[in-house]
Amino acid sequence: MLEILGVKKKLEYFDLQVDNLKINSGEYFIFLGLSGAGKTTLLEIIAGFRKPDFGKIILNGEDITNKPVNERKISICNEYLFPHMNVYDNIAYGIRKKKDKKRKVIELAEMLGIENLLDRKIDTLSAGERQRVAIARALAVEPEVILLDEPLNSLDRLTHESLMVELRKLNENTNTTFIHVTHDFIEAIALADRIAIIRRGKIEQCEEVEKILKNPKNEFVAKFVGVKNLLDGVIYRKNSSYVLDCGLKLRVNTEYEGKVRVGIRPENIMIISSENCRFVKDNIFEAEVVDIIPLTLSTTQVVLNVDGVELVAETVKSKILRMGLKKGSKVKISITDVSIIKAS
Amino acid sequence: MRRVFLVFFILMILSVILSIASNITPSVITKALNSKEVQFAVFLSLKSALVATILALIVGVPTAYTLARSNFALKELVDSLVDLPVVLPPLISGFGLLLFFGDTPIGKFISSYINVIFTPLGIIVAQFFIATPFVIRTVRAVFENIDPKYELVAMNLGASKTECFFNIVLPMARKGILAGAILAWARCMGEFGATLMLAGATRMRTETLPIAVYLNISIGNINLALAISLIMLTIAVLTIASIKIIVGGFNVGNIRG
Repeated sequence: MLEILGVKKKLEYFDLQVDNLKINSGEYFIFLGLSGAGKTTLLEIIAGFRKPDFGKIILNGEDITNKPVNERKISICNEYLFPHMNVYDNIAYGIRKKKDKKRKVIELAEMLGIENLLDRKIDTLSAGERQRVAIARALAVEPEVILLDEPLNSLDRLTHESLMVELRKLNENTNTTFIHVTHDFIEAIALADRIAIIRRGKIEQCEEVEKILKNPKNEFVAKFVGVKNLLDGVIYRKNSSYVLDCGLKLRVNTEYEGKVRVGIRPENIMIISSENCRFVKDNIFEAEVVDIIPLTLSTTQVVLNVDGVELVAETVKSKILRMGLKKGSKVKISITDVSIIKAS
Repeated sequence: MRRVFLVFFILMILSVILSIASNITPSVITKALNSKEVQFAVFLSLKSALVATILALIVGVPTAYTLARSNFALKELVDSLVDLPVVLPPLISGFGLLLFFGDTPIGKFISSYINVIFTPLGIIVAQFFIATPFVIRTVRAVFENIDPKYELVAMNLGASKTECFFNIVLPMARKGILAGAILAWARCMGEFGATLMLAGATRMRTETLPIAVYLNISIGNINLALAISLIMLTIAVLTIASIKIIVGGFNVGNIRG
């Protein structure tokens, strides 16, 4: 287990501050935040590249805060491949035992699908190939913890997806703890066991992926994890259930009463068609389509006007085509889930 | 309009080269190359410049690394001191060295074991003193251009500081170091002022190529001086060419002086 206790570091525009964070052995942990939020600095403190002003880093019970960089069992994976070495020598750099070298390099290269690149110079590699080499090089030292600094950054969509799947597999097949830093929340949702959302050097929320998606702690987190609709409202009790009034009246699963800010994820606004009408009973509204914007090859964003409240929904493209939706179409929608962001 | 200045200066350089080359006939060259004095000067210059450059690298490269990577009190002062021999006229540097070895207790003590005053050894000391700041300047700029993260990553993979220096920093800086060495060597080949003061201008003893030009002009032997000048011109051209080939440009770091 890696513990970060009371770590503080003064940065140029703000302070990095992590009070108490425990990352379990073998966990896939992601720090999610915008660029310049202090994520890389935090990784470098864990790796020992920089010293914190206060606080401790503890690995499996041992205080490693002042341990030299080359004695920690933590390896970092970043874009700094050694330009004067070929792929083989880069991967082999951290392997101490001479007789293990060849076997291990080939093993890792095969695992990452780069066995045909071993003789290549670094500057002849594509972005995706470089990332794979960097991962192999970091794994070669058999670390307790591997730190991945934006490992999927600047990759084309196909490479991004395949490398994402491989990172997940590598984490499952080794006992290594993966700590990964990114600004891409889709990446975080796909990979992480737990996510810590970091803003201006502080952790806003740190929880399992599902919990963050369901209950974002504040508006920043909500927006970051893809909540597109944020509304003010009041929750009150009516008979045995609770009603949220946010311009629309919704039945909600909560026991909280009073003023709230709520978030509705775009995929939780369902456009009712003849196929799914049997399954929805609750929170149904009449709406008018204001705009239809394609997001990816298969998904589409639909802007809706529901009794004067504008909501953004997301649905599959085929459904839009099947229902023949266009600007001005009248539809029925159902709001299937609401996240309550309590007034802070 | 601006091109006029460029053309003016190019013409000036060309006329200098032509003035030397046009006065030389093949027979002058063959005669010079066969003369014992020229042969002596060529080999003495080649030898002393090579030894001085190697010594300058041994001292200069680690110094450059220290200056590039660490911060300490008085660094500015140390920086300026290292630069001083670049700015100071070599003649004055040589005079200083002469006074040090001939007139101070420490200098006299050293001289009682290895005599450098008016000896070929003095040539190496003078050239070393002039060339080392050059090595430090160029190599330091090369080191500063290498992101220290490479070293941290290497250490992160288990390397010690020494291993890191020898198998990450040095190989990454090799082109720049080589270019710096060639520049320093060229400087040594042409060194005159400091050599004159410390090693003297003794014919067939401390007679490097520039000293040979000086001695021959002073006794009116213009032909030999011309031939040696052509040799030095050739060396200069080769120096520029080799640096261009090695680093693909002449701008190795920021070279002043």
